[in-house]
Amino acid sequence: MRAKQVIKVILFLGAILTAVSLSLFLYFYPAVKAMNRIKRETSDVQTKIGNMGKTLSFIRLPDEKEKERVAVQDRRLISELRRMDAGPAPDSGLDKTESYLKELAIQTGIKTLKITRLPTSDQLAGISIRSFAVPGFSARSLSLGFSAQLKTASAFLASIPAAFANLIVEHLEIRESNPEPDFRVIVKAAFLGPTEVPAGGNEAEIDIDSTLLLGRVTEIPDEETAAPDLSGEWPRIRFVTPPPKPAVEKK
Amino acid sequence: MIQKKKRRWATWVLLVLLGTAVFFTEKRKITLNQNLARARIEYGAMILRYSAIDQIRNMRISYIRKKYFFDYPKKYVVSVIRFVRFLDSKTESDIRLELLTIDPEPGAFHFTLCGEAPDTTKRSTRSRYESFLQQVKTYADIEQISSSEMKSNTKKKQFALHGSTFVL
Repeated sequence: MRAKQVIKVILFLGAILTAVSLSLFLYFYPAVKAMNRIKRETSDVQTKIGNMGKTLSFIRLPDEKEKERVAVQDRRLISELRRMDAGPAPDSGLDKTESYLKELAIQTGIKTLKITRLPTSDQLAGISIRSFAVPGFSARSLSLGFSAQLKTASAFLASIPAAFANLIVEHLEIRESNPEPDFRVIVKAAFLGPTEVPAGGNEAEIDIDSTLLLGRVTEIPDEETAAPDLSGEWPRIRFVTPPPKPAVEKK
Repeated sequence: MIQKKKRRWATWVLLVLLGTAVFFTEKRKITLNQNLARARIEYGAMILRYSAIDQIRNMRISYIRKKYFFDYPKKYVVSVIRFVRFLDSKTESDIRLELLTIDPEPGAFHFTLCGEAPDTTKRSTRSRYESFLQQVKTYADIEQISSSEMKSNTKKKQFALHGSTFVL
């Protein structure tokens, strides 16, 4: 009789234990897991809201002065790109550029300037031209070859970007020669033209969280690049092949 | 008989406890879900406000890039001329500079300078050649520089310098 009762108690306790375990594993464990997930999601969303709120509190909305400055720069870019756009012929812009460069070379004292046209380029000033987001923006490369003393060549190179904002001096090669060193310069000419831009190249990287983007562009100082100092002595003429020694006559 | 009553009582207590726990768990779950829903609604509103901010950012990015297009070529040419003039002024009379190539990188330019130093077995020539290398390495805007020497014969020593310079 007693043994029967003990068995009943054991069975009862077993049933309770089973019920508690089942409820733990089938209900409480998934419920706690779900609650933790909801808490995590809420905290993620709140962090995002906090970050956005911070940005929104720091960002300075554009005023009329800033909008005007952006518009002026856009107009300037378009007008600089259209400057060489002489006519409907595909290479008319390049023809005009070449004649400008030859004129500039004569003004700075370079006697002969040889210009060779190179294929379309997708890079300007080291970054992809797609970065500038101007529709129809394309670039062509011109190879310039000339001989000059370093001072004259420097004056010519400095005058190119000063005179034409759409011409960019890139590759430069100075080779030893006689009586003057040989120069090979690759100039990129930017146009608003029909030339197709090849894909590829590095996009200009700008940090999206940069404080520059929070403040107004009118607060970015205008840096005027000073013209290079060509004055003073350029005492030695380098990259010049020494003249051959005169042959000594044997008696 | 008493045992049976006790068991029934214990069962009820357990059921009530489990029920209470379930009730509070569900209540907590509902509260957390409501918090999440509120946060999501706030986030959605924030995104709407943020899209206007994105337009402002894009306008400023475009401005900075175009400014780079206008400013960088001048700075680049000035830096290159300054560097070429520096090399010219630091070269010793018996060191020949044969080839200099310069290529732009964003914010810097890369250069390769090839030259020849005659008879570096002589102490005077050797010290002038080393002083030239040292002076090039001390150029203020240099980012990094490496030099390699190629012995062509005992009378002449060919060298090559590779490096990059900041465009400031």
